[in-house]
Formats: sequence, C-alpha cells, structure tokens
Amino acid sequence: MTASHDIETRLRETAEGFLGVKKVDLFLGYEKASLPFRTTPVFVTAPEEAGRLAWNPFCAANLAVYLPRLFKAPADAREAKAASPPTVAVVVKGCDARSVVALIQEHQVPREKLVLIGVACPGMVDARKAENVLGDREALGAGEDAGGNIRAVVEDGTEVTLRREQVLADACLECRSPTPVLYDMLLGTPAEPREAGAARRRIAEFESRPPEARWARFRQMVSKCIRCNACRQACPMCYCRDCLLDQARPRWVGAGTDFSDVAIFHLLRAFHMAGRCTECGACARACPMGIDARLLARKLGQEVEDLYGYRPGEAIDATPPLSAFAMDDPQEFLTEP
Amino acid sequence: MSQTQSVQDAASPKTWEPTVVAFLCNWCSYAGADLAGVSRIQYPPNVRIIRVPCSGRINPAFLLRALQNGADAVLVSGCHPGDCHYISGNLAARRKFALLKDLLNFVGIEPERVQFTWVSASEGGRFAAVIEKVVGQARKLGPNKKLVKSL
Amino acid sequence: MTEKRIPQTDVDRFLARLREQATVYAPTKDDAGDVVLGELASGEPVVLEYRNFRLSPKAFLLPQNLTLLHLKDGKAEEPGPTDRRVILFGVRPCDARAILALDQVFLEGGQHDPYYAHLRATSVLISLACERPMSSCFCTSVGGGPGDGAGADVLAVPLDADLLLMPQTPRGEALLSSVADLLQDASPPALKEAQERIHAAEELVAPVKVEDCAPRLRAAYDSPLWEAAGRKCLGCGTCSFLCPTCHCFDITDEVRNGTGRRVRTWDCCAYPLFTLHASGHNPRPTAKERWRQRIMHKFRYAVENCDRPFCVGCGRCIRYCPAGMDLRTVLKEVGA
Repeated sequence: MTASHDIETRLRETAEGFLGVKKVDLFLGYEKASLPFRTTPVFVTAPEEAGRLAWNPFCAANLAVYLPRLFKAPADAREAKAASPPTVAVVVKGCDARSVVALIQEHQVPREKLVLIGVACPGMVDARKAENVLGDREALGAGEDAGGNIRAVVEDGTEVTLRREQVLADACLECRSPTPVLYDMLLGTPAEPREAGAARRRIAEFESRPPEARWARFRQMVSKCIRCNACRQACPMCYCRDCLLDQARPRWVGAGTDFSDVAIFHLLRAFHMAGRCTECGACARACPMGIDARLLARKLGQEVEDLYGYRPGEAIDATPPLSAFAMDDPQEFLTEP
Repeated sequence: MSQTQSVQDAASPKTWEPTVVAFLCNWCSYAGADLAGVSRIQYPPNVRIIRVPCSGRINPAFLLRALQNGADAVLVSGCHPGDCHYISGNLAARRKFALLKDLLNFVGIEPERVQFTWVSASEGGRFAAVIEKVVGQARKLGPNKKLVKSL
Repeated sequence: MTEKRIPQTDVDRFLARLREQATVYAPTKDDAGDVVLGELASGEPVVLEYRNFRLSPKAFLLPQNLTLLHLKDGKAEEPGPTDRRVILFGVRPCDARAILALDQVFLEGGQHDPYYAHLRATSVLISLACERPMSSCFCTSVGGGPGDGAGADVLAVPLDADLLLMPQTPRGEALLSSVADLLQDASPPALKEAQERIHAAEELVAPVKVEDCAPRLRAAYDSPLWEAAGRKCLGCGTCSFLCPTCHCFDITDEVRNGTGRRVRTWDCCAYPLFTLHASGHNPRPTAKERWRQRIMHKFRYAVENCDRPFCVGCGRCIRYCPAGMDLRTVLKEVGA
C-alpha cells in the first residue's frame, strides 16, 4: 500500500505543478469511482483539482483511448479557428505506454504535445473477477493492504481479503511489459514481466485441439456477443472515424446477432489489430457479456512476432508490420498445384 | 449469383457443385487465366473470377464476405514476388494473406476454404492446375456451412 | 384479485406445470456460472438467490435482431403471426416497471408497433421482489421499489418458507387459476410478512435526488458539467444495450440479389454515428453532447412527454460502464 500511496502523492504533486505553470493544459489520470474495484478517468484542468487523482490496484483503464479524439484534425474551418491542440499529460502503465507509442507511429497523436507520466505497473484488479470471488456478498468498499492484496468490506461490515493473484485481470497475468517503454517521467519500481510464456501457452493450448473443437469453442465464445461494439470503442487502436464494420455502402457485416455477422465482426476486428494490439485488455474489460475479446488479437500478435519479428508499441520510429514487407517474407501458406 | 445457378442447374439436381470465387490481379493472374482460355486448356467451370488491379487491393473483408455470401472456397492470385506491376503490391499483400490464413485456421475454418497463389501471365497451364486443385479440395470439403449467412 | 402462496420447495413443480402451457424462462445458471433468464429445461432447478440478470428482459419484447420483412425476388412479405407463448419468471420489479415505459413508446400516443405488440401480448411476466438491493440500485427514487408490482402480471414475494403470488393483472389472475391446485390462499399474516420484508428492502436502497429533475436539467443545459462528465464516455453502447428502458433501434436491409430481409437492431445514442447526417453534419459531435442527450432523454424529455423518467434505477449502466460513469453523480450535481 505504501508504494501505491507514494505514487498517488507524486501524481498529485506533479499534476498540481504542471497545471500551475501551464506546462500542460490537461492532466489525464484516474480518480475514485462510485463503485468498489473500479476507478474512473479524470480530466484535470485546474491545479486545485489535482487532489482528485488516485493511484491504486483498480486503475485498469487504458487512458490512451482518449488521446486520438483530443488531437483530431479540425472537421471544418470553424473548428480550425478554435484553440490549437492541447498539451496533455497522461498517466500510462506499461501496456498504455505501448498504445501511445503505436498511436504516435500511426500519426494519431503528436509526441511533442504529450507528457507521459509512466508508472511501473504491478498488475490491476479485474472488478468482475473480484465480484465473482465474493459471490453473493456485495462489496461496499475496497482498498489495498500492506501486502498488496485487496481488502474488501462487504454488506454486513465484515472485511474480506482477496489475494491479488486471484483477482488480477487476465491481461495482467500475461503481461510482458509492466514498465512503460516511453515516458517523460517514471514512477514506481520497474518490475520484471510476469511469466513471459503465459499467453503463448494459452494460444498453444487452444491450437492443440482439432479444428472442429476449435470452431466449437470459437462459436461458443462469440455467440454471446450482442454487437454493442464496446470492445472496439474501448480499444485505443480503434480510432477510425468510419469503421469498416459500421459501413453501410457497401455493408460488409450485418448489424445484428446472426452468427455469421458476429463471427466476421470479431475476425475482421482482430485482423485489424494484427501488429497493433498492445495486450492491454481494455476490450475484454469493456465487454458486458464477458467474452475474452483478446484471444484472436493475441494469436495474430504472436504470428506477427514469429513471422516478422515485430512487437507493437516498442519504438516510435518502427514501421508497422503491415506497412512493410521483405522479399523473403515466409510464404509456406501458398497453394502449389 | 445467377451464373452459379446455371452451374447448379447443369449438374443433376442431386449433385452439389462447389462455387469458388477467385480474385485475380489484372496484370499477371487474370492474364494467365486468359491464356488458359485462349490455349483451350480445360479447367472446372465452378470458378467465378473477379478482376482486381493488384493482389494488394484485396481487403480481407472481401474474402470473408464471399464466404458469407455462400462461396465454398475463395482463391486470391497475384504476380510472383518481384514481378508486381505496381512493384510491391503483392509483397504487402503477402503479409496480410499469411496472417488471415493463420487467423481462419486458428478458429477452425478449413485451410482449403481460403487459398493464395502466384500465377504469372504466361502460366496458363499453372492457372488451370490451381483451379483444378482448389475446386477439387472444395468438392471434398463439402458446402461451406461455417460462415455462410442464409437470407 | 386473490393473493396465493406456494412453498418455495414447490416452485420447481409450479414452473414445470407452467411449461405445459408456454415456454418458460426462469433464472438458471449458464456455463460461466452467471444467473441468466434462460429457457427452463425439463427438470432444471430454478435459482432464487440472485441480484439481477446482466441482460434486461427487454430482449423478449424488443429483440436485438428482429426481421421486419422478408424479401424474395424483389417482393416484400411480412412475417406471419406465430403461436409463441412465453412466461418470464423471476423478472425483478425494476425491469418489469421498465416495460411500462416501452409500452408507452411502442403502443401508446398513436403508435402501434405490431412486432412489439405481438411479443408483448404473448408474454406473461411473473416478477420476483428483491430482498437484497445492491449499492447501485435506486429504484425507490424513480417511482419503483423492490416490491413494486407495476408492469408485471404476477408479483412473487419471497417469504420465510413460502413464495407469495400476488396477481397484478387479469392475465396474471388467469395464470394462477390455471395452476390453482398447486396454490393455497395467502393468509393475512403472510401478506403482513410480505409488506415487512418489502419495507426492509426499501430501507436498503440508497436514495438519489430525482425530484424536479426535468426543470433542473432544463436550466442546466449549458452547464460545464456535461463536458467534464461526458468526455469520459467511450461510446461503447453497454449502457443502452443493458438498460431495460432504452429502445432506440436501427433498420437495415440485408439483401442478396433480391432476396433477403429488413432487420431492426438495437442502436445507441452514445455511438458517434447515431446522429450523423447524410450531409456529414453531426448535431451531437462529441461525447459531451451525447452524454447530455442521454441524461436529458431519460430524466427530462421522458418526464415532460411521458410523465415518467425513462430509468428504473436498476443500476446496470453504473455497474457495467467500463469508464465508471455514474448518472447518479450527474443528477446530484444538476441544480445543486
């Protein structure tokens, strides 16, 4: 708890300082939410509001998702006359920083307008996992204890301790980049990534099943989808103004819950994440139906690593893999008559 | 789909014939298909050809949409690497195709449903052989049921 | 209308009898272990210990995906009437109350949506009073309550060992008569126990300031709070899709060579494309305008036009919002 508390204090001091001298126009961080196990993003614009900033095990959201809209090109002359893009300080964990790098690579945000407040991340709690562990008891409040575990207070006033490992988000359990790769200042103690092979093992386990079993599993997974688009909206890399999957002329994918449309929505979205997904888990967190939206993008991320030696979000001057090619790219997948 | 209908009608009512949609790049593969025709090389009539300027034009959405519309297999064919009329379109496409095939295979869609190849303008025979292979594999697999959307 | 009761141990038998007359949807556990309103299979035990389902029952009356017209060779055909008969058991009072809002939209004021009307007429609702409201619930502040029977055909109230069954409509009365042999009359002590339990549950629901929300919101249209609160919104659609009163829809055609269908699907005012005009102009261009619209629709326009807020206090939008947005905070700030 002391580590989080120190980081929280530093964040507040930094925000107050930066906003006070107008080094930044906006300080984007987390604040306490109205329900336990969660935080909510806060857009601090005045130094006296810096005290709202929080840092705790519930800071799971990827704040990079808010950046593209802050730097969107003006839509018309009237907008162009409005104030120039703000200078934004944003709190970024390891995965979030990779998203920011990827957004810079794709020219969606200007590096010079960002002040990246990096925080080395110990992993964040998944609110739904925590609520499932508590079962029938509803938590009314939750915090971090000295050992880094979560202490929740339930309805009848009793305290329940949840081991951190039990309630960490799946994305965090597979995290390979807990420390931001790009930052203007770094808080917290850089940590080693967790089990480097966890995600690979999960993919390998899925692939070890025969094709029909894989199809059945995929079908079962996406059949719950209600086409709310939360996964897409929560993803920092899905910033297209006119998404292919919404397009009406021509309509590539129907709007309803027909299985074929649902399957193609997820397949195409995953495909658009190839070499761009930074494994932050925002998609799975946002999904109201509990679908693990990370699986397909993770598989493609692994393929991109293995085939082209590229990991997204590591270097702002790297060329994205699908904007590049090599004469000797592998082509075993071709059909030979 | 009316041409497919005629393929279907020509076969006896009880025999299903696969429908294969082929996206051919204008400069190499389409010309190769043309050469096959001019040289009177026979190949199965099940293929519906769509001409595109370059294999790099192919959006994976085209392939998935074709499957959704009822195609039993989809083929994409372009120029050999190094020979692209637009220099590098096929090289950019190669990465996309590799990833798409991996993704579809991952979720359990039969690999023979979506296939990629390079056929040059002088390879009429090779084109016919590719079509024979793709149609034959599609016939063995049976109708595409997994991604088809019935209206 | 006569109140009835049944021992809780007999509820499975009661539902099995109902299955003889209709498809019964009741609280059951899905493979992820969540309690959902699912089709009750033969012999499947019902779950009576749950807070609320993730998805609201509006899907039974306003499906996510509904075919309005079949198109064949260029000719349009409406889908014919079905012999559907559905009984929904275990709907919470907030969700039942929400259906009255949907009725106003689709059946009243000169509207008559035949698709909604058919599904509504063929569905019987048995709601189940709440004993353990959640911290995100605020039904009592928007005209409802944990023991409110509005919108249901029968209100079931769990007692110590029994389930009290209180018919709310003639249809509910008829349903109970059809299984009268399983039921006993409810005694005055049972009715008193029900009142006490409901009152105890009401005390657990934290109040939210909703009085005068319409004039307060009208006065606050240009307040800076909309930008401050709204800019967090991701436009993810979760709130609208899970909300039991949200009803906006989109209509699209799915046609291939003259054959296909016209479908109605759920839509969400928080989507950036929701009000995009063909000209390219968007009157709600940013999350601020869309968040403001959402609150205005539910707590001002609905109150002014339909005499009820389009919110039943179920709390799903608060629980499931990935950005942690909470409309109760807005209601507190407006006119504060």
